[in-house]
Amino acid sequence: MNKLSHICFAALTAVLVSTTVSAETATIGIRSEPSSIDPYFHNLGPNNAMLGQIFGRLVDWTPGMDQMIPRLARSWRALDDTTWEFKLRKGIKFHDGSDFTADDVIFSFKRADGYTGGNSSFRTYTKGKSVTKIDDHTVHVSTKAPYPLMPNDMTTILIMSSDAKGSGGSENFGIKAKDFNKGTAAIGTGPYKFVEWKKGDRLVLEKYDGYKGPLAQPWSKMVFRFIKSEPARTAALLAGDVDMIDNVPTTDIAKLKSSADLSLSQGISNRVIYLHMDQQRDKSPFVTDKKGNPLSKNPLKDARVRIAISKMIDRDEIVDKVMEGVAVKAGQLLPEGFFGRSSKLKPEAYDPAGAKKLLAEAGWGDGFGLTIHGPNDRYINDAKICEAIAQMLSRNGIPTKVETMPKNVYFKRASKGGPDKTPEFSFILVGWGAGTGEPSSPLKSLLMTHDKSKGHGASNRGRHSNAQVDALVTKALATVDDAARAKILAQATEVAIGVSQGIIPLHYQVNTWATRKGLKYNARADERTVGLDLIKAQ
Amino acid sequence: MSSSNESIGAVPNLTDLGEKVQMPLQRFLSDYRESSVAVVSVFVVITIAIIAVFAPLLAPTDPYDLAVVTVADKTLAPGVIMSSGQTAYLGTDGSGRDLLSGIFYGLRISLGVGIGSGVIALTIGVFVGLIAAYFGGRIDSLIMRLVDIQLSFPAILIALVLLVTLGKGVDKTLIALIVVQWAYYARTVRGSALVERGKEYIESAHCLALSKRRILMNHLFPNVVAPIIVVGTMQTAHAIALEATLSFLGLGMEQTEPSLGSLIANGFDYIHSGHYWITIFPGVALLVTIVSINLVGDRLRDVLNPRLQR
Repeated sequence: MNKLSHICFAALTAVLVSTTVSAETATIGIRSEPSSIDPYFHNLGPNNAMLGQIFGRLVDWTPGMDQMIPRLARSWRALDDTTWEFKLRKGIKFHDGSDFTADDVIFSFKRADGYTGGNSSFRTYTKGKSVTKIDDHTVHVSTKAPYPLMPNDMTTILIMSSDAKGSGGSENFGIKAKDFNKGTAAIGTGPYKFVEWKKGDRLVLEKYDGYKGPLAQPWSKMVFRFIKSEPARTAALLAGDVDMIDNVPTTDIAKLKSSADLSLSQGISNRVIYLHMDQQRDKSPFVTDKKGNPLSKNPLKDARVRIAISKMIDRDEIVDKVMEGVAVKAGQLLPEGFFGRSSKLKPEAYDPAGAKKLLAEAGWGDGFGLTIHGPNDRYINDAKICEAIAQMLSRNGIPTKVETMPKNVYFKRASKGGPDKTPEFSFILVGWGAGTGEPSSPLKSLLMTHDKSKGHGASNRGRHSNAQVDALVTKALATVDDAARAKILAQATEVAIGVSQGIIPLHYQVNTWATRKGLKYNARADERTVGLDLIKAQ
Repeated sequence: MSSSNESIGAVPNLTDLGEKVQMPLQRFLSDYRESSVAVVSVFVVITIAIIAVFAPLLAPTDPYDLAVVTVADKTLAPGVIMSSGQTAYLGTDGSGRDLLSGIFYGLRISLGVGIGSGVIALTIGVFVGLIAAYFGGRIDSLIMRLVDIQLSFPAILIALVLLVTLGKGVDKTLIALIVVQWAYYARTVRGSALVERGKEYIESAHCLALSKRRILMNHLFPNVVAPIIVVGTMQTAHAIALEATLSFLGLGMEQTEPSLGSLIANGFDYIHSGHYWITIFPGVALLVTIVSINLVGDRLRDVLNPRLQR
């Protein structure tokens, strides 16, 4: 009898233990859902975050983005100025059991580079690079010119299986985005396997037992629920429907902080929020006189006017009031601690008198009118920032109107809504997260002269153009020595922002995650919300 | 010519009816007064209308002037003094707007859009409805099937689709609300006019060979006015609620020129942080407006319905 009860007890415990293990599900409420499960469909924050859990990268960042760490690549080195060697990890298997080899890397690069029909491509990172197989676990990546940022670029491309089967067709190797969205082609090496994606509702992932990585998988199942509405996301956490939420609304941070049942984690991101100003057109559609009539001359082409606008913006008020203290004033492209920053550039101080003087010098002492355009569902408090800036400019002699719209409408119009697919607006709010962890990415995309053939100024929606900046950035991109490159990048930033004010930096985003008590989230500088970083607090 | 004039004058029943209108008006007023709630509602509606019309004079600040509104004043509690030195009696919203002024201006938009769209939709609806009823046959089928199709979709859905396509702004909201509402008027008018068309006075007007326009406008139209008044009142309240919903969803009004719905949405962001006033006060203003208009409409329906008359 005694023995029997022991056996029963053992069996019961076994059952209990196994159920608690299999019941280790984390439900996470996130603001933005990915636009596809296809890793090359759209170079977008939520896609890169979510899909990075299913697919692996050759190189990855630590959560603070201060160091690159080997993932699918075991090690890398520059063989000469134009060739990099990546040694691949052995014994890695895809979710379907097939081996990870150099063929998968080459296939992934080819598919990413030639992707058609997507929303925004990864070509910035694949262009001009040729990947060759040396053996099953070694690849060489070569470029025409010296390219020191090779490992940084490798953090952006997700690796898919070359054995993935699609539904056919001539494009993208016969694998369509919908094959990924259904899950048939969503085969990676990441810590989690794809289970299902219900658009507008949830993405479900399941632990991949064959995963080999530096971090343990804390959850056997993860449910990412898409909760776009800010108060609803907070409410879901308060009600216990989810274990964690990302993008905690700044208005709710104080309240959640005071709750004993929740814990918050915060971290500065690599994303700078800034303003573009139209510096190309002589008649800019949203620059008017004070009464709203069109102007024949575009004041934004004058650097003094751009600097004056920067001086009219009270960044302290934006940080303290609009962002409720949860942001850091910006004077350049990346926050403190990042590679290649300028030590000289400081956030512009609020100086209405100085602004007035500069405007008068430039011949615009009587002011003019503007309309600021921005998204209302992309960055933290984006629409409110637009309104605050309009208030500040209106107060200082530049009456400004505000027009905000959902991101899917906004970005299309801001990039190519004008005639001949030119940027439509004159004065816009955007953010840029430097995925490569250093300022060459924003300098190249936002401040170099727009040149489609060279891939320069791809997101330069103000069409700022300064020959000195172009020369400095080109030089930096080909400088292999880190210290020398950092110096040139800092110099380029000083010219582009300090001297000619090509864009107006406002602040760096600070991201906030909130979890229920007993859990902890490692705040990430790349703003990603991923399961591996949600851990049980000790 | 003169003989035809005489013959028109010799439609005695019609002129008699015209004289009797004075009597029903008095009876209408005394009937209406029997409900004290309805009387109070009328005064509330009038007060709101006065506030809406004279908002720029009554409001302590101009909530739409970005040079005056400052984010430094955001989410001040009711009674706190703003940086301009004025007291925010109902507090301020997330952009630093004085809520009392915001509500006054918001009522202006709500009533303007509600009544404006109502009047235009009514005009279109009456015209189309009368034509359908009078001509009957294919024209009637065509118009009424169109009305059926439109009414089979929820009003909010149609308005949403329209605003997503058209964009934000008072003018666009007005267009969306007109498109949504005309069908209700057309159907109501057509129903009443169909009944009236079969009556003898229309037949006699036909016999006198009066022009179609004259029969429609001078004979048919005055006899379908009562239901139009009732539907019009109810629809105005409906339109105000619809505009508020659209603004709450982020469509409708511009961000810097909020209506009541946008103010409520603005406060919704602060619902967990204890700044209750941003949502509550505009919400109450909206509630009072819609309820009082509806109460007036209810009473009008009772009074104007001949079946309910003793």
